[in-house]
Amino acid sequence: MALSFAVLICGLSAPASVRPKRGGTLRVQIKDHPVVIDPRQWPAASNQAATAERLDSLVFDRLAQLDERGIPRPALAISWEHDASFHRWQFRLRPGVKFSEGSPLTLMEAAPALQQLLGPAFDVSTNSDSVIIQADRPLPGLLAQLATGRYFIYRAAEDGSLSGTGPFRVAQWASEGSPSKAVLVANESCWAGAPFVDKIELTMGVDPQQQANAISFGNADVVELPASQVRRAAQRGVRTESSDPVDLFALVVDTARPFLQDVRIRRAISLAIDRASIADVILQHQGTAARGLLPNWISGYASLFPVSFDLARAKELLAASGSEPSHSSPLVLNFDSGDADAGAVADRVAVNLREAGISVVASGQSWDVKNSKADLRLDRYRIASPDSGVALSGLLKPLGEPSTEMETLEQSYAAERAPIDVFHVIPLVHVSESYGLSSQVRDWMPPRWGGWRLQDVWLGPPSKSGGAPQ
Amino acid sequence: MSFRTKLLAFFTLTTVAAVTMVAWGVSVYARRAFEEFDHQRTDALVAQFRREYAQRGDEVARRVQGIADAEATVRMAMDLNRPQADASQYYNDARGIAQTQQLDFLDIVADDGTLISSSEWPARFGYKNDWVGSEQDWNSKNAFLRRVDLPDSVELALLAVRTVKVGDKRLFLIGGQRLDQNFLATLVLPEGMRALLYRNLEQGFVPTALTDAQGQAGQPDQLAPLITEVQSTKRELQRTITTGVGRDANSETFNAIPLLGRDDGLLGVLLVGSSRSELIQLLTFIRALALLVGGGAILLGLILGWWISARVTRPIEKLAAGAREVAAGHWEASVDVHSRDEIGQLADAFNEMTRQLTEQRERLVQTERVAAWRELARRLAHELKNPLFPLQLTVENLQRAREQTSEQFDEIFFESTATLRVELENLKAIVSRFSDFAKMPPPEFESVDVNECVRGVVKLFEPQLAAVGRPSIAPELYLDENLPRTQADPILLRRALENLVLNSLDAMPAGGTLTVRTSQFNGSVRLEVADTGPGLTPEECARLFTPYYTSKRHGTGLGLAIVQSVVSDHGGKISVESAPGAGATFRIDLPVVQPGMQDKKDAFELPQDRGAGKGRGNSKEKLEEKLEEKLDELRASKAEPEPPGKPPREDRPIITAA
Repeated sequence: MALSFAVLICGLSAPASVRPKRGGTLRVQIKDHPVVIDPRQWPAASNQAATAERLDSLVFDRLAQLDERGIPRPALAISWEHDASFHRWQFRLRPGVKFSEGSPLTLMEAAPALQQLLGPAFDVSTNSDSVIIQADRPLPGLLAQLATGRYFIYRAAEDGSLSGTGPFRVAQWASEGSPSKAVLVANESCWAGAPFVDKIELTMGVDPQQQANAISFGNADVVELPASQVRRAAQRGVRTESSDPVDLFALVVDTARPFLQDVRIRRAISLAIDRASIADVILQHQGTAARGLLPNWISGYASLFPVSFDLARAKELLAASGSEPSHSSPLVLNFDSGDADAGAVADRVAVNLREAGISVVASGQSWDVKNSKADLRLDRYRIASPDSGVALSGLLKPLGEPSTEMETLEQSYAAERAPIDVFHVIPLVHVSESYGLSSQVRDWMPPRWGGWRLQDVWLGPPSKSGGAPQ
Repeated sequence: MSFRTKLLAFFTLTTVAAVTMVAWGVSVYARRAFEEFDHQRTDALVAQFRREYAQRGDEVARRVQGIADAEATVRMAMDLNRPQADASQYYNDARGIAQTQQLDFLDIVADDGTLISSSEWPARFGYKNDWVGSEQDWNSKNAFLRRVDLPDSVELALLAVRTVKVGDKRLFLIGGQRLDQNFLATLVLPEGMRALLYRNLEQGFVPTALTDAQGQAGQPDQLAPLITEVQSTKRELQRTITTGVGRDANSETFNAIPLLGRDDGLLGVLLVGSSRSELIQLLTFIRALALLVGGGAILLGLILGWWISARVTRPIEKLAAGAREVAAGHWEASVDVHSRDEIGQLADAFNEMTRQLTEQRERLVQTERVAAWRELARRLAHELKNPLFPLQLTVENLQRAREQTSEQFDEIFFESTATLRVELENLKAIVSRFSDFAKMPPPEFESVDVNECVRGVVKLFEPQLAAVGRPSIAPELYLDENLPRTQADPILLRRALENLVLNSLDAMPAGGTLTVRTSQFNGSVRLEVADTGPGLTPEECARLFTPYYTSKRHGTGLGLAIVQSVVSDHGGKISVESAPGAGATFRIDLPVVQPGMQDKKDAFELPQDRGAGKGRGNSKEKLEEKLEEKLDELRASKAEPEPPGKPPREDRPIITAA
């Protein structure tokens, strides 16, 4: 009897406790700084591009968007069609959509924006109600491409300011100083519905330790967490959320260096690195040992890449190569000093290689690591799309690999295998994207490949325990 | 060097020596005192280091023990003891715990030695740590020194190990603190001291491994030999090291204390340096002061020494002057000293001595005068008595002859008057000799060839030497042909030589050898006349030149007196050398040049130069050459050997009278 009464009370009260509430300010802290939200000026580095995409998705919309499974769904385009050869695509714009400053979205704004973002290889035109995109080559992956990346529809005012159709609009943007702050307020006229929170206070250029402290002391609602700190944050009572592994840590070898010209040495380097320990210990199970460039959940063929930790074999290969690096001038391994995970991974790689007999010095660089000159380079790549072709294109381009047709799985596999076989790129681990959330944050539902959906987030009352109110 | 100078030098040396001794003594005392003080300071600092080291070790051990006792650690140990335990979740724990416990190093190690978490090198997780499992009871062990490997360096650490035992497995906690300049900074260093730490973590001497409280130590190479020696001996050493050059030079005494690890390996060297600049300053001050005081003392000593020596030596100088006067024949000399000390007594004694000498000389002169008169009277009486007695007999004979016949009387008268005439002649001769002695003329000097004079005299006596019916006397002449001409009165010199020859002939009534020898001796001309007669007794030698003394029956005692008078007037010396039965040798030394007669000598020789027709200028040069030749002759004469045939004299007693 009592039990039935309790169940009844819970049943009555439960819907009221999970009902979204509007209002409030969501405080978000990120490491990157400065951040450019103009899609026309996206940064080349994939991790900075990821940050730009997260912010741009709050202000702008694309023609299509990916659903939970990564399948393109209508956004500003309500329908699309293409010819049989995928040379011509036609997107019908959603009617009644307005930019945040009140002007309607028309073909006259959409087509030029896309033309500028797609470049001259594409021909963007309009007809009565559609945007038409054509190219000389077949574009079977155009829809997936337009559903990710920087292909946002924007309107440029005469003063140069941009406005979008997204759930928020930029009310304040101070790029000066570090950390710098930006304020995004709710776009009440958003075609997809107004967001729950009134505004977002975005603090940029906050280092991970300060972010961890901020979330611990209730000074932030959403912070980025390095993978290596996720478990510790959770132990401290911070609510954490992680995506599927979407970041790749890879060792890029400068094959022009005399010592590294021998493929046996590069292979020895690959064999000497204990990837499992990196994933399990350093990254605290927030990553997986990487066999290929793409995680298996995206490519599906990663298990085909042979990789193993074999220190004895690595030593054999080194001995067979007949050359050893001088201990007085060890190999230099550059990594991004602002990335806590990268530092730990680089140190471990150096220890592993030292055990194999290769003297390595890990050197943190505060500037663009990918363009630095070093014997070895630990790069972190953001996998921008759940589509293997789009993702692989995004990875191979910064690696300097030639662009090839990747319309089929076989083509993608071959393109991915090329740099791995010659050990120009040695994949190490795939890492999840993790966030620390305050107890007020409700309905945090990002896609599995990471990113934000802050328009769905609302702020509930703080939990007394500080844990997640699930 | 005069006595005053010696006294002054003595005073000065005494003062310098005294000041030097005092300065040296003070320096040595100061050095010893400073070194003792420095030794105490160093010992205190070393003790402080050991104390701090022990306290730091205890603190490290306490903190590690605190970690081991923490509930979270025990839970960790229990969790890791489970099968399929996930050690990765503790990967980051060591860093946080180390920060909390203010430890520089913390390793969490599983029972099998696998590193679970490391604060200083997290990336080494999973690797084995073999040494920690060798000890069974870590919890009772103190902290120890050990090298800790880091990704890009090696550090020296004070480590403690504690274990948490769950079941039969242990969880090792290795915690520690870095032993570096921060540790040195905790030491309270007295002024002038410094502490350095050498971390002996690599082979050989590495300059960058030497640190002080501020960081890397400057001028590490100067400590390299000391550190290298400690590395080889592992013993505590002390060395004095000079750093810098010139004015910046500083001398420091370093105590090097080896820091050993658990396996007695040398992991570090603590260097406690004590600057000797204070000592050097002190010694410099002492030296400067000693120099100043020494200089003043020397100056004062000089003044005092001069005053004292003058005061002491003045009476002595007066005494010396008095003695010189006495030596010069002024026996009445006296010194005027009024002090009452020994010098005064000496002066009084000197004055008394000269007074006594004067009185005695006067008495002696008086006595000798009386004796001479007596001798003269005796001799006169003796000389006059001989002719008087015949006169008396003759007169008495004449008186008795009046009783004879006139023929007889006439005969006796003529015979007696003849006798009277002869005896009166004798009396006249006697009177004449005495008169001649009394009227000895002063010499008139001229250049005389002594050899020529000798030959003339010997020739004069040749008839007597070879007289028939008389034992023959053989003359032997040894004349130095290089004998210089001598300034002398030739008549007096000849007379003296005749007397000597005559004396020798008288000494050889039975015949013998008359030897006359000339030679050069000490710049003088030596003339020797020797006989082979019976010789003289010492008493005879002593009185030989006394006027009117003679050992002959008919001598007047004036011959040798005349010789002595002539020699004396020529500024020469005469002596006799004789022994009974061995003859007698009379030796005369005459100066070549008479004092004050140099110009006269030149005048004697100039006419010869003029006679040679040389010019005036050449004459002067000739004269100089002549003088030079004379001097050379004199020099040669000193080295000239004895003439051959000269009888040896060493085997006979020599009696010399002058």
